[in-house]
Amino acid sequence: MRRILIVVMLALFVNVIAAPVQYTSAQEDFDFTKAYEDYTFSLDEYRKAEAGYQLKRSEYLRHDTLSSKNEAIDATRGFLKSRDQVVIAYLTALRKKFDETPGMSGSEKEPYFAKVDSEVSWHQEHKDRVDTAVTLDDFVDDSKEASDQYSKTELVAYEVLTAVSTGKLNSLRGPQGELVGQTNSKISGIRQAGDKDTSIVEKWILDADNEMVRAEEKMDTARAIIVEMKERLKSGEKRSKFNSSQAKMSEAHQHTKEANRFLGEIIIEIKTAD
Amino acid sequence: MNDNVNQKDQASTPQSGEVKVDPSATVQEPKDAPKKTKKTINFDKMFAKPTAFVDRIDAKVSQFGPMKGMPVMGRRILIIVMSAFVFFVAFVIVLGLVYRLLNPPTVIKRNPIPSPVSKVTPPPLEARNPSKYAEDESVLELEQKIRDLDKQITDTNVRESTLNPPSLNFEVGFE
Repeated sequence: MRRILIVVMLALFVNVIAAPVQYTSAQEDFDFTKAYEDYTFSLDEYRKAEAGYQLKRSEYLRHDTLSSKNEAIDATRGFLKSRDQVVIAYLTALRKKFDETPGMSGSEKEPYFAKVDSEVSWHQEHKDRVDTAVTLDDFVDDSKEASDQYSKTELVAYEVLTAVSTGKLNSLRGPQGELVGQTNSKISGIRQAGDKDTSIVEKWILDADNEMVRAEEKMDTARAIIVEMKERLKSGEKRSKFNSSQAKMSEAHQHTKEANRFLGEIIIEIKTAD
Repeated sequence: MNDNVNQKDQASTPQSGEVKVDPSATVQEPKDAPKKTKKTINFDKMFAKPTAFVDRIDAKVSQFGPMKGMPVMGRRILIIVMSAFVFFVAFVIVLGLVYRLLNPPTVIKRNPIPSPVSKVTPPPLEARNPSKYAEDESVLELEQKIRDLDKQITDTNVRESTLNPPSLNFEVGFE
């Protein structure tokens, strides 16, 4: 009897110790790739649920029987829940992508995380609330609520996507700024030594610096487009504005590349005799 | 007109193997009917006096086992057809050889084409006329960092096109 008690106590102890370790490991393994897989899976499920809803809806409208009405209620419930789920999975993938993007500090990312988490909570609550709906009219109201909320969700998504682009460019511009500074110091050293004409490279370093400034301006413009984006805009209009913002980000990327090319040419000039 | 044709046909040599109109083969018609002659091919007469060539071949072929039981006329037709075919093939071969002799083929020498290899060309950072800084350690270090950053910039895609918000259907109604 005592032995059995010891074995049971030991098993409980091991379980209590092992469970948090397993949980932590699972949390660490959950990266953007897995989150994205979840999202695409949810999207597939949503499409199936939508097709089911359309079918049952048309059958109900055609026959108008109690049986077809019940089937329509079930299909609509499944459809609304899968729609909330796809939004949750999408926001989770987006959050993971942003989390893994370099170029922004934790404190800079925090406000974006808070917005994403708030959206996830809303859609989770809405998904749970759909279960309590009884009539078809309840579903119509629930769907209207979700539609209004999704307008805000889209804004948050575009903000985060713009922040991802900003982070990526920052991760290039940081080292580039250091390289410009180091090249400038080297040019100053050469000028002081007086054994090489540095007038050309001094001009070129200014050009490289100007390219970096232009890149910064383009990034500011891109962010301003998103900040000015209104909630009431239709999805297509928001998408259009986001695309123009991304085009500015691409231009900033191009200026960053150009600045680096100038740095390369400065090195050639330094290595070439007068 | 028909008489003329008959005369012409009769004048041609039967040995040549050509189609000949046999007056004896004409259909007997009533005397009061207008005279008509019908063209028929008399193979018996046609092959009665074959050419010396056919005759010689036939003499040899007729000794051959499977050909023994074959009718003479059929055998001769076969010989003529086969001979014509052999002569035709020989003629074509000779014609080809003559053509080849007159127009010797031009040999196109193909150089081996190397497969295209996708390669990112690094920026040319080599100086043609090197200065005293061409081997400077700090300059070389800067050069390497610029190269590394260039690769990083090229590999970076600022757009996350797979993460655009999904298009969802919010139209729910039962009317």
